[in-house]
Amino acid sequence: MPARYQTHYPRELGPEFKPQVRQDWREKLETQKAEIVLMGDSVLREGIDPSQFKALTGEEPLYVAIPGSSSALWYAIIKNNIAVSTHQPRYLFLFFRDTMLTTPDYRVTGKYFTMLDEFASPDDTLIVQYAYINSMNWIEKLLEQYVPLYGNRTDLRNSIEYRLKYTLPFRLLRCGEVCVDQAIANVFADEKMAFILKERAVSEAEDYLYENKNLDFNNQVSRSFLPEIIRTLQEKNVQLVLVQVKTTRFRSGNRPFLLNKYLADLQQYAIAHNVLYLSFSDNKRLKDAYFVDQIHLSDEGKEVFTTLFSEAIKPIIDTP
Amino acid sequence: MHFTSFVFILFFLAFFVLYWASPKRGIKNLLFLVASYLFYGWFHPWYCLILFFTTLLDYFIALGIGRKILSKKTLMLLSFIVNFGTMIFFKYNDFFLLEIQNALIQLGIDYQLTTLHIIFPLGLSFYTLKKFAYILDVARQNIVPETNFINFALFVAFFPQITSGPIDRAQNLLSQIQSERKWSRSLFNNAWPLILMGFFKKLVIADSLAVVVDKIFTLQQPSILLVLIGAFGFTFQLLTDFSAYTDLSRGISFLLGFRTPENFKSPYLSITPTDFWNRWHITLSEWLRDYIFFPVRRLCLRIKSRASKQIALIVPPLITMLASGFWHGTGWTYIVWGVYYGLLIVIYQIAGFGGAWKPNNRFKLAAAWMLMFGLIMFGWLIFRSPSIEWLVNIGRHSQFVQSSNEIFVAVASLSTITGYIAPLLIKHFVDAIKKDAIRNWVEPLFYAVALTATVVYINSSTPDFIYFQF
Repeated sequence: MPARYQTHYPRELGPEFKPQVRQDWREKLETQKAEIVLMGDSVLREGIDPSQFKALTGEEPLYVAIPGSSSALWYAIIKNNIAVSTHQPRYLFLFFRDTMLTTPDYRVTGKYFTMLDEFASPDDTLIVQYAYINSMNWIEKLLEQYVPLYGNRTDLRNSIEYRLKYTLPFRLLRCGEVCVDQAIANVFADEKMAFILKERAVSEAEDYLYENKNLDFNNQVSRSFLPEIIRTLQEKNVQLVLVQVKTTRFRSGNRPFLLNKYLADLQQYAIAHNVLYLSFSDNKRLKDAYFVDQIHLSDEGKEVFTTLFSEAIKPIIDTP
Repeated sequence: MHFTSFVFILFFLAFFVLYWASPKRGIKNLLFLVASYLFYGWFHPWYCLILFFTTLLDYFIALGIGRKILSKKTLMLLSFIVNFGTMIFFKYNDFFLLEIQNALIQLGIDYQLTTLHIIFPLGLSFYTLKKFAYILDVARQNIVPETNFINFALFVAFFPQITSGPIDRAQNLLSQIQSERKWSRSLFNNAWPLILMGFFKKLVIADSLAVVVDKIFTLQQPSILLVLIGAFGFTFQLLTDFSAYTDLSRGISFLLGFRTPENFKSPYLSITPTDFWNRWHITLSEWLRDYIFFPVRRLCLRIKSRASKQIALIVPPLITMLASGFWHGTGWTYIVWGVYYGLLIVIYQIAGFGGAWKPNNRFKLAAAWMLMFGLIMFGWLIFRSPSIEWLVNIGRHSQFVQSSNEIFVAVASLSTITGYIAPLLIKHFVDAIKKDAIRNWVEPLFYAVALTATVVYINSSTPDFIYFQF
């Protein structure tokens, strides 16, 4: 069968990325010649307003705010877009919450894989190792290598789901893949979700970041993309600034001991590696009322956070 | 540790070898007990303390009843208070406190009550019923109290059943714990189809349906069409999820030499509410029937009034189903769902369709089935709704379809749901094949396809079984 379908046997572990790598951010950086890059997930998108930021600091940032992104995608963009650009920024501000930076397998499967695949290439063996292989147990590894059905399960499953989801709407209503996806995006748009239920869904999705394994900084850091992100940027003389955002999952006094320890270890690690560290996690000016769920800010909160952030980085970016 | 997790598979393999290598029944039972506490404590170690102390208490209460140390009623009351007190404390403390808080606000009193946010111990609802049934059976002299603590503790903590049932009776399970067990090929032959179907139903069907269903039930105000599709999906998600757990539980029990009861007999083919409860979560239904319905009915019939027969027709189903609602969860949706079934049973009985009613022709049968399936679906809609207000709001303000996009989403969702539930129908027809010649190749073919699909749908993460939360 592997010969018939021209696949490797035993199969290589982990997914295979397509050879094409999107270069959007490299092109934007070269055109815009930005000195500041702001990178993060939806928390950045809902937290920092780039026009207000420009008005307050005089700097137009390269605004890499990708909802659903995580450390694997950030690393792929830094390595394959920022670092290969002919123009290098002075600063890269990486917005994260709690253990995101050292949880390499967070948001890397399903639709997140599709996002990652766009910016990673087949040469990115580190991404495959850290985001996928390291979290597999030995049974999974054996199955993945020696049972083609298991190794190709994602493709097979996608193909079954594709047929179930798109065939009937097309046959009955002439509504194809794009049409169905647009309809789904419209019907299940964020603003149509019930607040409490969305809050619960966000909280459940974030649970993984707070598993005991992921709260052990010293064990996780060497298995994460953080050292490589630091090394890649330092090679290009880009100053990395880690920006810890506020969430309402834990009030400052109620934060679990393990999380407090994790954050202290992370901060120490950053200092030891010449990385700047800004924390807004206990900032009292970011009131709970500004949050629409555990992690996202309202428009009012966005304005406050942009001001706070701009004020905080002024001394950094004003340094010659 | 979930049945579908890697840790459980390793745990079970190690235990399985040790268990069957043990020469004596006593050692087997001790090993099984340790494994059960390990399995249960894996979720949260302190769960084991509650389990152990309530088990110990019921052990002595049962002995006390047998030896007539105190009056039966006193000891039964003590067991009732401890068992149900523990369950109510863990399950309802936040619910009651929040309701009191809301009532105070309505009265204009702004007083902040501190909710405790205590994690509800998994399976507590299940083993509470199991233990209390044992106490009642001892008191009724249906069984003699078990003197061996290990046997009794194993009966309570039996790991294939502890988190989501079936709610086995001492007459069945305890008697098997007391007996010798020998490995035979028939144990494996009985186990593997159950285990395969358990994995298939959970990983392929239930978890795939959950994706569609959860999305619909997260909307602020979905259209009626989408809600109906969500309810249709949930109807099968719940069945496959819960029956998958039961299948795995029974399959694992078989591998360890135990025959445990069935919990589902094609519940969606029911034609009356009573019929449904005879086919759905059978071990719970039997518990409710034996320990709530019958005693309440006897009590009602003893009332010296002309209306005692009417009271006996109306009150027992209502109380029984209300108790079922309370047992299933904390929140008004569960209570309303319980009352809904109570009323359905009463209405059907008054209309002459109670008990063993059977229609006398196919048209009536089809009509009765369709009506009952619609009622079951509506029941699950109440059950799955985020709140009663949410449901009422949809009933009052939502249109049947709110935009053309919803029609596309509805067709895509419906085709996904029907695609995933199709194997259930196929299995039903396969089971109905009577000719061995046909069955002998159709059945293995079905299992081969189910196994293939299960491998394709294996995911690294393992979502909880829905009934874990009850």
